[in-house]
Amino acid sequence: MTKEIERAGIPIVQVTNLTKIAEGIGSNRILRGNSVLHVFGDPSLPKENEVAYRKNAVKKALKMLEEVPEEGKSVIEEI
Amino acid sequence: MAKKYRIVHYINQFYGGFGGEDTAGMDIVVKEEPVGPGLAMKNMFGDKAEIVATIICGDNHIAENLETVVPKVVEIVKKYNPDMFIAGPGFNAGRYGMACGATTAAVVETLKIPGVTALYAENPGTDVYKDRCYILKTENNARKMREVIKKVVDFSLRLVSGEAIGDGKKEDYHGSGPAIEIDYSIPAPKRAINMLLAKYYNKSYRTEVVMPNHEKIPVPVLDKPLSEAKIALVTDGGLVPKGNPDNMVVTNSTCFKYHSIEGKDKLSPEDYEVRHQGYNNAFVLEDPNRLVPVDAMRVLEKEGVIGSLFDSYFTTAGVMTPMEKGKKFGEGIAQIMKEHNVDAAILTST
Repeated sequence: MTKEIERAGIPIVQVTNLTKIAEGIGSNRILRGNSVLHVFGDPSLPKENEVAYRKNAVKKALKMLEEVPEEGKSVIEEI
Repeated sequence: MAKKYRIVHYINQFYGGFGGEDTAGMDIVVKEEPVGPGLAMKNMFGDKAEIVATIICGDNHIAENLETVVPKVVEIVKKYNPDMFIAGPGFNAGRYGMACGATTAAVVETLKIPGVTALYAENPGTDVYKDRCYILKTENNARKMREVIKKVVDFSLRLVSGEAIGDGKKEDYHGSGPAIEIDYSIPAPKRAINMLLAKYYNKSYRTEVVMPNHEKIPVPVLDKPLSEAKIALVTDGGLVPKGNPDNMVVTNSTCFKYHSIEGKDKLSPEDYEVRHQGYNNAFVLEDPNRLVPVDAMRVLEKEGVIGSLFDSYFTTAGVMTPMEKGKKFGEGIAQIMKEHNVDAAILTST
């Protein structure tokens, strides 16, 4: 799905913990999530802190959308 | 002394020394010695392997009669009882490339011996045979013949000695290589253990799950500041409205859907459920924003970090869903994004 959305010219960041698969498919922007079970969450945190954590993680993903990865190389970042 | 591997080599009339287009119609000729590029291979193989026969055929003759000529080539190869088969390299020569791919694939599949050829990416033979045999990558002309032959020789020796061969990206071959034959009479756990042991001992093994070699698509660039961009959220984690109104399946998805989040500051657990059998859904059920981060996006929208959040999120379940389906979903999602002037997207994969 990521590749087809990119083909349409829309920048996309794939947030996942299965980064090898994302890389294998050729996703250009990959952000490693917190867990396969809660990509954008951290249940160990108190509720309010988790929202702040998520905001920060989403910001990281947004920043990756602004950056331009080198052609042919997947950029993989951590939250 | 170690065993000297027996190799049969296929080349066309040109490399066989019979001439160019004028002799492209010639039938099969067999020489029981290395010929043309085979001579360079002979030197590089040293005492490790020998070319016991060279099969030479006119490009037109074989390319126009693949159904009849290729089986003949296979029969001849069989006669020499070789340990492996090499064709070409054929670079960007179209008919020769078809012949190289067709003969290599047929030998590998019929005689169950390893085989390799080498072609340029846009050779028509590459596309047709890259998932049926090893086709090493070359440039589009024969200028670097020696380097390519070296590559073929090195790869051949590893292949024939049963060394582990990695994926195409690592080993520089097109496509996924020879088709995988799975012996279903051996139970999957046993096959998995055998594979693991082979990997551990650096022996040859083939995965049963091939990752398609990725296709290069130019990296899209955000063409406006983030603070003006409309961002969409997508997930393959199967988040659907409570009650599953679209009867979404939990595996082998047939469609994607999109659901309005207009006016929502966050996703409330009582409004959603998960249709996805591939992961423990408990954490997402407890707080769907962990999968589709609407709460954080709304905050960032208010703060002006992003222009706006697209007022629907896209969803499907990415479990046991074939690649082709995923492509279709992606196309559909992209089209809807375009219609609504979405500038960029965040996709969460479980």
